[in-house]
Amino acid sequence: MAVVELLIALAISGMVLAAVAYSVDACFRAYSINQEQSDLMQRARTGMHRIITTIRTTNAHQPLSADALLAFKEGIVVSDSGIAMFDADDRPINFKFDAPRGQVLAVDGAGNEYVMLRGVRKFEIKFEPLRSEQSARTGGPYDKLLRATVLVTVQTTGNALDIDETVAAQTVTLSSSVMPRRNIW
Amino acid sequence: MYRGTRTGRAGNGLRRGVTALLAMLFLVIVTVLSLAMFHVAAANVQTSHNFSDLARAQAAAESGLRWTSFRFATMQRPRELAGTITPAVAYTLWNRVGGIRERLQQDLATVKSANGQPLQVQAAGDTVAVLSPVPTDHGGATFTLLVRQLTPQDGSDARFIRVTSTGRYRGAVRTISMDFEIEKRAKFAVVGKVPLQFGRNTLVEGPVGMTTNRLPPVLILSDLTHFSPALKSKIQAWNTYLRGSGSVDGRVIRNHIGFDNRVSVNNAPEYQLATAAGFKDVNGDAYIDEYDLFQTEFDTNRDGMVTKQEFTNPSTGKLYDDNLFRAIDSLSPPLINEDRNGNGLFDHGEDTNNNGKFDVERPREGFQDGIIDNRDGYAKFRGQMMLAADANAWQSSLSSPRKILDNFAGTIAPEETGQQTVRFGVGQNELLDLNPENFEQAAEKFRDRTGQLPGMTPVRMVGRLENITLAPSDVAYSVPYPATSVRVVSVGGTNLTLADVVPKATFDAANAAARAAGKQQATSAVPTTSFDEKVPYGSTSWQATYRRPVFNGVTFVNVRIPKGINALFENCRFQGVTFVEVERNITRSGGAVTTNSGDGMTWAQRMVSGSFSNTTPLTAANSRGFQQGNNLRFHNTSFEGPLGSNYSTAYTHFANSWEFTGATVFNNKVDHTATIVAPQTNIEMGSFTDPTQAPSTLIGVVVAGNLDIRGTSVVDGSIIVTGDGAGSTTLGYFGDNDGATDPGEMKEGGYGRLNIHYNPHRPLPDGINIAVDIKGRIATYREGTR
Repeated sequence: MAVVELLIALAISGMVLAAVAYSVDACFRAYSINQEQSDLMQRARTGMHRIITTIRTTNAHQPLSADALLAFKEGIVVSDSGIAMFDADDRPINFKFDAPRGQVLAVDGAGNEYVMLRGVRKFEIKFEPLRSEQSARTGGPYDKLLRATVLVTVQTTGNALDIDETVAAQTVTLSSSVMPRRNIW
Repeated sequence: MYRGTRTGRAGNGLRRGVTALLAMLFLVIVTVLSLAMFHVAAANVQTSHNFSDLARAQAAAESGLRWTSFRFATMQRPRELAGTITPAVAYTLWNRVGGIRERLQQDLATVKSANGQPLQVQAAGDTVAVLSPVPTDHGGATFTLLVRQLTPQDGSDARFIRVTSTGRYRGAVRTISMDFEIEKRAKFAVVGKVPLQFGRNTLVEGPVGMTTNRLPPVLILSDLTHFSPALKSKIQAWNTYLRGSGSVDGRVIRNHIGFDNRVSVNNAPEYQLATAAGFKDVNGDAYIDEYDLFQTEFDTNRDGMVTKQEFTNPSTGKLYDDNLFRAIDSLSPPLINEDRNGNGLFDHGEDTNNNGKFDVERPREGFQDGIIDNRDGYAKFRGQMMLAADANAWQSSLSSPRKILDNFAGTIAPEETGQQTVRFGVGQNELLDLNPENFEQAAEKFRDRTGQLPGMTPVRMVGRLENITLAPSDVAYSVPYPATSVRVVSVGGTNLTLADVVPKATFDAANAAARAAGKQQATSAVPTTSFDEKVPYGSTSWQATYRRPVFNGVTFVNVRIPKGINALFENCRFQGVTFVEVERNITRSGGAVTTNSGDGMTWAQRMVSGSFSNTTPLTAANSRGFQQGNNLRFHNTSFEGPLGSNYSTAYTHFANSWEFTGATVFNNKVDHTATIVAPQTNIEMGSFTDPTQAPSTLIGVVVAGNLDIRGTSVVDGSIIVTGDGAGSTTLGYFGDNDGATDPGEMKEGGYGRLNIHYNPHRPLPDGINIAVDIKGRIATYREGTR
């Protein structure tokens, strides 16, 4: 009888502990997911803010790929995976999507690449073209950017080990539009 | 153990303790995790708030910049006589009493802050600072401003003002800045005080302004409805469509809102309706307009271009309208070319805009290449139309079913994307102060360059008059007409031109042809140095008859024409500067000086003896208007320099009036700031009977009391009409008299053409007393402090 009682007690304790352990694990996982999401959101927002600010304050924007550029000059709204522009000091600066490595890169005039965002699954910029005053009066091409809409999807990459990140488990998508101030006021 | 367990209190207490411990442990874990998650979530929310606050601070900062730009445009800005704003002039403009700094401070002081108190504004030295936060909405973001005139230490100069706007929302702060330039420009391609009429083949590039409430402020005729009945009916259908309405997604909307007569492909509802109605953007310029119908009609091989061959009428073998074709092909010319001698080098005196650079703009692709296509960028108007008149008042003045829109024909395109094409109720500070007195000093500067100047030798010889003040007796220096020539006194049914001097053989041949055709014959007289002429020349509703001295074949250099000359100049050349004097103070019968144009007409008709009649030849003996005014006609004459006339207090209609007829051309080589400065003179350019004559290029400003142009001219600058007495300013051919508003069927040879383009590179002449402008330079936009 005592053994039976003991076994029952052990079984009940085991079940209770298992339930507790499962519950604790769920809590930890929930915490971890939250932190991942937070981290992702933070990274995506920071990257997006940087990209938007740069587009807003630069000029001579155009898509990177030749096909998109051709369509852009014809006044067609196009999407591309990168953007080229010139900053206030007339230095070239590009943002482009490195799909194999899942990164958005900033490229300076010397060709140096800087990682702006990691774990990027999708990076797309929609270009709405505009004619400059000169181009409008001479029937020239669409040579300026009226508005850009940036869409970026970022996922966990396993780089943040401190929060026990699970690779590719979480994604965050952000979208934002911007009109370059030096093109239209 | 068993016993003890069953009976011992300690044993029972231990079991309870384990459960409690487990529960507490669990509670602690869950609590810690909950707190951690709360912390993470709160941090996320805070991050989100931060970005949101930053965006609002950024928006507030941009609002500050825009608000300042608006205040610059609408505040009372100081006036300046200098035509070119140099850094030294700009420095004075900022610092002087009543200067920009003071005016800006006064303007800002009229604004209330969030607590209802006037803004705290400090103005000293090179800075005006708005210290109180300016609210953008109730309880929302605010901005403060720093407006500072720049110096060479900033890598700029005193012509530029940097506006730094700092937006704040909660803890977020964003600072942006942009430079504004102090400039003085005519601002408009055409600006006036009487209704503006733009005829066929009159293409305008640049803003248009009408500064009074006179109605209707504008009348615009289409360029594309007079040479092809098929195209005309399509354009009429298009115009009817634009005034209609349709249904989109169950909503009834107007087919088009606006006065620009074009539908954007980016305006989804309007575009959807237009395409459903069968209209297309044929040329792919993102708009459906008249030009798409034109291209559909004449681009027969659908290559996007209309060649001369395609635009040739098969029944006549001639272009449907040669003038229109050339006018469109000549749109968007180069605006600046400082290489005046064409040697490709930056020579002394060629820096006309004083910027230290050699500015040469090459002609655009497709310019005057004999093809009409997208590179020409056709629009009837390309520029904003700014009207002081109120739209409701105008509409109320019309009898049903007429609409305001009926006065706007053809495509009106803005210069900049997003700009409103037609604005009503525009304030005077945004327009131009056209008080003719503002132009008095500018005109007087031309007087100072004529007549017998110190060191200049007067010349009076047959065919040449230099550095003199002209006298009626100087007709003696005219070149005699050939003995076999006659002057046409009446044209009858011939193709001769009234008042022309032609060989007798030509006259006889024309009369013979008229006789054979059963038409009335012309009459002639021997050409002498005096001639009676009805004015305006060739008009069917003439105002007066003048007995004119006639100067023929004379080259005038820096000549001053005193009041009372009222001459006809034929086959003459005017070199250097020419100045025409008229009476300054126009008076009523009691002697009081008047500015009223009605009084001006009475003054013009005032006689020494007898009563005024438009058929009585006016002379120095019988007419005070003749004695004190100057009604001049220039026929087949060339001007190689500017033409000025002094200010008179009132517009006098025909008493102070110039007409340019025949092949009179302007080719101003002397002064690129102005071709004509005659602030109260009525000017008629071109013929009522042959609008294709008088091909001229008018550069710089053309300031006139009123101006009618009916020729084949190019205006590379601005037309500024300061008089308020005329019925209208007509640009383009509108018929055979002053009051006509319909040119009717196209005359043999066409309606002529007018290409008017505002040229911001041309400085104004000195002496024009108008307010300076303060314009943003968007390329200088920066974020962050600097």
